[in-house]
Amino acid sequence: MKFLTRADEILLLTILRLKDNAYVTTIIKEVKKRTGKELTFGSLWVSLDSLNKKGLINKRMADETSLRGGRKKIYYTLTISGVKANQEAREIQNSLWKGVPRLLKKYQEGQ
Amino acid sequence: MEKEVRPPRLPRRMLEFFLTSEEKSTLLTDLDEYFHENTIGKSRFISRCWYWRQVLSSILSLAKRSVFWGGIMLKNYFVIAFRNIRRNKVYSFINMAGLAVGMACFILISLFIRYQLSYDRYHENTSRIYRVATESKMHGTTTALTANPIAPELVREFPEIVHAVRIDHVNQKVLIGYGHKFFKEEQFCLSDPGVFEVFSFPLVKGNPDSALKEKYSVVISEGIAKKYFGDNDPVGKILYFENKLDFQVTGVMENIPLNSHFRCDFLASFACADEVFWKGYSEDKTQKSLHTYILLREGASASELEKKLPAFVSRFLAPVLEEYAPMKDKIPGGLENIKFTLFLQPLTRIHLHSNLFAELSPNYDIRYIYIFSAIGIFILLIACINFMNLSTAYSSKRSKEVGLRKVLGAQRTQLVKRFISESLLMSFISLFLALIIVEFLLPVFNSFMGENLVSSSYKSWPVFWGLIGLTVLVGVASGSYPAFFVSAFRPAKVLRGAFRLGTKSYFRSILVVTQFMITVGLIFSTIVITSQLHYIRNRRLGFRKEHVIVLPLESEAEIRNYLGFKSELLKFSDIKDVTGASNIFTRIYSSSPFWWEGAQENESKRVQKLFVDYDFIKTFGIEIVEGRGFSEHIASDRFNAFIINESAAQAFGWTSPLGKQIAWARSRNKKGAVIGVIEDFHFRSLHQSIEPLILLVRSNYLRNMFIKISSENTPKSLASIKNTWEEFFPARPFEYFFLDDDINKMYASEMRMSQMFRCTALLAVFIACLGLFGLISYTTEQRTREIGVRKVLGASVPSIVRLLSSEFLKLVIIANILTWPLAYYAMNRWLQNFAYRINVGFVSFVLTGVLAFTVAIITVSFQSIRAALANPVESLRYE
Repeated sequence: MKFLTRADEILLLTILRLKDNAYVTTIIKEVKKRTGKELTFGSLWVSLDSLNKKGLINKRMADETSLRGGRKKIYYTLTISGVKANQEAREIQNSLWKGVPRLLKKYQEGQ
Repeated sequence: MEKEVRPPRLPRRMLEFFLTSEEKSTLLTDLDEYFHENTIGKSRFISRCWYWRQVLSSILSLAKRSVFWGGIMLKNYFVIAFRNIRRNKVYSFINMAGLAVGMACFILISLFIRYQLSYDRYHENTSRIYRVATESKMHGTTTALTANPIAPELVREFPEIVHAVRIDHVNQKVLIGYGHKFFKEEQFCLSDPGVFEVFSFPLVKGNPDSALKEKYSVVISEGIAKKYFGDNDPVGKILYFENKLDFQVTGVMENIPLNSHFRCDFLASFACADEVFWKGYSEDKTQKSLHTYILLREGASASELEKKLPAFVSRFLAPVLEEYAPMKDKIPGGLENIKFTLFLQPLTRIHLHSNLFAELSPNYDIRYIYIFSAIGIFILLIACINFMNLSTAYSSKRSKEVGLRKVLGAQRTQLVKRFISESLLMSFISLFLALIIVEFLLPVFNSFMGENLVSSSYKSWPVFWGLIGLTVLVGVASGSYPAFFVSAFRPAKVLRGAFRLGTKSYFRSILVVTQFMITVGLIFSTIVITSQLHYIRNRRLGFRKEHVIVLPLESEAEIRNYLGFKSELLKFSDIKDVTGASNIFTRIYSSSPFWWEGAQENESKRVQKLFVDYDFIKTFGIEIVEGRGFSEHIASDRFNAFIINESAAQAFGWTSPLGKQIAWARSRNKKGAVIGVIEDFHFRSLHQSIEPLILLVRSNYLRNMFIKISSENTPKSLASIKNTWEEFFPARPFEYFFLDDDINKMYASEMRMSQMFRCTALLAVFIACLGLFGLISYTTEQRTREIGVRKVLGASVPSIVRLLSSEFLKLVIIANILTWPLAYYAMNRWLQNFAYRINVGFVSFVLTGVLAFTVAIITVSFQSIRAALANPVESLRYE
């Protein structure tokens, strides 16, 4: 399996965090809150589309026009492989970081 | 519920273009949702702007994605395109050759235009530099010169002027020496110390702030430094100026780029101007002999400054007018003539827009830039049309391929992409060919245009991107019509084999007509320009210009020795006549006020005058209408005799001019009589009509010597003149030119234009014929069976040729008729530049028509005759 890109990872985690409430507006807000970066609609959509094509996330169309203020929305949720991919990414991350903080500290002191 | 803002429709459509149908629904739902969340409570305008921004940024991301995903498909498109090019060799060759030639032509012309537009733009402060020019009543002309002490006064008066510097070009050649090396130098200028702050002339050696501060200091160009000092350091060395002044070299500047409106090899301190010229020169307010440039403060407005200039000039001139007031009767034209007005010219407009008296170098004319750009675009257009035409015609050959692709599920957009990528590929191959052509032609083109489009300026990033952009534009533009046309084929029809592309297509006809309109226009212009130039060259000028050598006399000594030199020359058998005149008489701009009989006592008129030797009229074979020429044996001819031309007689209102009185307006009591009237001869270019002219004898004003030699052995005659010259004037190199060359030089820009038109007309004909050839070969191929059947049924060869050719020839005729009025109008406008011109006659039209028609017939008949001669058995067998 290919590695997840950083941007993909951020998106997947965000969707996971938002649980049942992940749609474009909330995703953009959440990403901004966590990273300080405001995604543009187009780039977000392109990434979501590619994640969808890779089978990492699902789309679900929901018609909420009956609710007050609600409207047609597409909700995004993680698929099983999406969750797995995230876990894998985490493991790789962990194994890479093992012992690194100590090295970093040493390096900084050496400077 | 609050009022809802609906998303605007147009950006939505744009977005849809980039999406597949499946993507469409989800993306738009997402976008709508996002839109409403973000625009609640905002005004309609703001939400719309927001929407537009989102859509545009989305399109960008989508485009990026499609480039990525499309890469794989694209590779496939290019493979197929290559195969197609290989399969249809003739078609591809015609297509690409035409395009390559057209592109090469376009590239060369744009390089030329780019170069012309780049003049004087390399200065750091380009946009703030202005030249001060004068409209003077004295000469009745606008001149690029200003009164000598204007620059310092301007800086003193106006805080918005940072610097004002004078550039005083010593007009004649001066003798510069170092040690034992002496050279005649043409580009010697005097300037103020601020010159390096106004213009960006980087110094290789020396300090720009102090280089010209000292009197007798000079900054030289790198080229000159090499010439005089070789590899030694020139700074601190002494240069002799005309054996009267010593200059110390204080700096070396980079050679001034060729795209500058003036050249300069020596920049000496203006502080010593009085010694270079004469005492009081630099303070003389009536003397206008130098150029003034100003650097404005940032943000200062030139037009505001210009408004304040008249008041400045009257303050400037007040002391002069006061000084001259007592002698106002002696000043020709009175005190009014001293006055002038000043105006400003932006530095960057000088090269293309300014054509004043005393320009520092001959400038170009913006109108030629327009003409050349139009030609470049036209040629490219013809080539593109070719491309479109041929691709559409040949596309029916590919209908099966398209049908099959469609059956296998190809979408229309994919087919469009596929065709466009094919035409892109072809246009890139053409670009490559075009660049090879350009590389070969650049030196030729340079010498032809008399310019130096340094190839380094052409191998730069902006040019590179420009070329890529051009190629993409050409590829997409010429590929788009066939792409949309072909992708619309219905697969069922095509695959059943019933499909046949109509042999007639209005769109294609329009394209062919457009192509031939441009071609015909160029042919017509070429014919008119060529015949006007022919007319100019062969018009009876009223004097014999052939085999006349002109020697300019510069120093006093040379003028004083004129007679001795002349009699020495006349001893040679091959030198027929020697005479002299004050001006190179193809451009006499030397008018003086004269009084004439019949005018009021204090009246006067400005008339062009020419001082000549006694045998001037005889040497040039100028016809004497009445009276006689000058004679050495009649004493009164020496000072008090005038010969006038017919125009002068008319201007003075004389019916029998002989014996009438003329006098210089300055000394009205010394009257002289008219002894002869000569025929009007063209003493200027044919752009101007003949003005009144007065000839007078003055042996001490003959600054030019005219030597008429026999036509037999020019080199021998030249050698004997040179030897005699060296005996008489050993100090000065022998310089001469031929009178007829000099006359032809007046039409140099027209000559160049004529050559340009001839080349482009040829090219246009070539490209258009390539296209026509491709089209006719295609149609004949399509109609092979039809021709076979017709022949079997008894059609004759001529009738078939007629059948095949007539359609195209009709188009050529239509193109001719449509173009004639336009071309006629344009060429008549151009001819207005000449006071003496041809009439655009019926012949030019007929000639154009016949030419275009013949070329078209030859192109078309080659294929159609071949098709008509073919054995019907061959063509029908494959049924």
